[in-house]
Amino acid sequence: MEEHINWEGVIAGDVPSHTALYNLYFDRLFNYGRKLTADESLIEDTIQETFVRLWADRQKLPPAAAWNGYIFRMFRNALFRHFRDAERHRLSPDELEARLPEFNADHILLARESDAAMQARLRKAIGALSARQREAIFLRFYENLSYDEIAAVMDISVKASYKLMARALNEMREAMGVSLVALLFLLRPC
Amino acid sequence: MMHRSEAERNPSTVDELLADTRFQDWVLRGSAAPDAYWTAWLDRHPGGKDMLARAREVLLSIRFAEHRPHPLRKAAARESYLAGLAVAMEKERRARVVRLFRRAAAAAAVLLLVSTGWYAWRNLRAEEYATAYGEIRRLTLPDHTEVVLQANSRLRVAGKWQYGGDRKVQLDGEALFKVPPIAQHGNPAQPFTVSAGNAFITVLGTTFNVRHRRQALEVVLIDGKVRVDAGEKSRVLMPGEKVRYVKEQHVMTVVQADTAAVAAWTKGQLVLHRTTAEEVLHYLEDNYGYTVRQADSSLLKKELEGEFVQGKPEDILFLLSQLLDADITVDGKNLDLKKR
Repeated sequence: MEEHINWEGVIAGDVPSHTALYNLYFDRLFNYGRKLTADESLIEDTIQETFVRLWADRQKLPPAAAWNGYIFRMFRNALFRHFRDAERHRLSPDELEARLPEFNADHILLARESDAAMQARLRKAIGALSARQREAIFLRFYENLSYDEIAAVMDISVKASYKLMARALNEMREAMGVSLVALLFLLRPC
Repeated sequence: MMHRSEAERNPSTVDELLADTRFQDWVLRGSAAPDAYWTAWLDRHPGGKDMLARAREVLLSIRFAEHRPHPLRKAAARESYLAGLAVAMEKERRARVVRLFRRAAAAAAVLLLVSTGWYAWRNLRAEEYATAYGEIRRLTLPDHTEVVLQANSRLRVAGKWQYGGDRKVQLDGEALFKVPPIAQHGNPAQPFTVSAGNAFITVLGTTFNVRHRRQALEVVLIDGKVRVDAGEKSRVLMPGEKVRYVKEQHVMTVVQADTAAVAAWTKGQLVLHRTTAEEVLHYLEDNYGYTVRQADSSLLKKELEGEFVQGKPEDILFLLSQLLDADITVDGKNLDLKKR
């Protein structure tokens, strides 16, 4: 996807290159933002701000290979900042922190092939995951971000991003495995 | 910087498989058949086949809701992004001006020390003024003629004007001249002449724009009176007239011109009125050093309308891409235009 972008053009302040970058990311960031909040205006404003800042700071951008994670990170940070700015006058500081954008469990769907009992168990497991775990799963399995990128976006260490993901997947596996406990025991050679 | 635990290098349980990036990548690629790595892994793990299938099932059961923006909202968001970009550009431009001003103030102190000597020396020699790509310069000649020199242009001024010599300038490129009336200045034996290529413009107190680019001369008279001589052709211009002379064809044509549009560049503006995209691109080539490498010919012939208050090349390119509905790729100083 990124090969269509003239990265040097973006750094040099070439407007068409910058606009192409915006076009490439708008739908992706909208989709991602929509998982964190239902406020579409907030998402749109945040994308705009992200790209205007990207323009203003274009000379300070990391190497091209790191841009994908960088853009997601800028967007995510700006989304939280915008949310706080918008709600500051309405909510107390505690309420504000409690209602920060987070990844809703409803946005994770389940394959229709799996049987109803399995679906119910998985749904429960997904509900039991933390919002951060769900977000990490989304970034990894929908956006195909690397662990390094996920760590940058979610502002955690790479090691923590591995842990977050491993725990989430194991919890889902457990939910799926309840009826297959015997099989799972057999499957574990050690 | 990758972190990989022992288990990730050699996963042996469903949980470890799930957490293994190589496993995740294989599943995400969508092929059910194990690749070389997982075939080798299966050899090392008898009975691992079910484990692999199980872990795969877990990963593949994960789906996400997709949210697409409404096209109208998306278009509105794009508008406000473009507006935001324009504001950011304007801010940068202002910051640049302030920086330049500070530098100029510092330089002024130094300049004061040397200016007295320089002033005396200047009057005795021919002056040459040249502008770089993108640079517009304002000059006042010794007879108080005001000159705005377009980018990528050169003006040579013969020395010793105030000692009774002819007021002669030689132009390569484009410039706007505002020559004070001779009556005011005193000496009718001192006509002001501009030579551009093999043509001469003789002035009798007036404002006019001369463009000598691409083997063609264009003179637009804004007010006053000038005579243009080129080859055997000669023509006295009335205000609002534009004379065009192409050297190879020895043809001189006169048309009415929009004088405000012609002089707009001196205020950093670009006025498009029935201007073809090709002319705008020539303008970018002549004044900013771009080269058009590729462009659909249908795009070039398109006529454009509009006034643009900022003549910066990137803004013009942006405007052009919007007006033409074309993608403009900038590769160094090379431009490629493609229809969207």
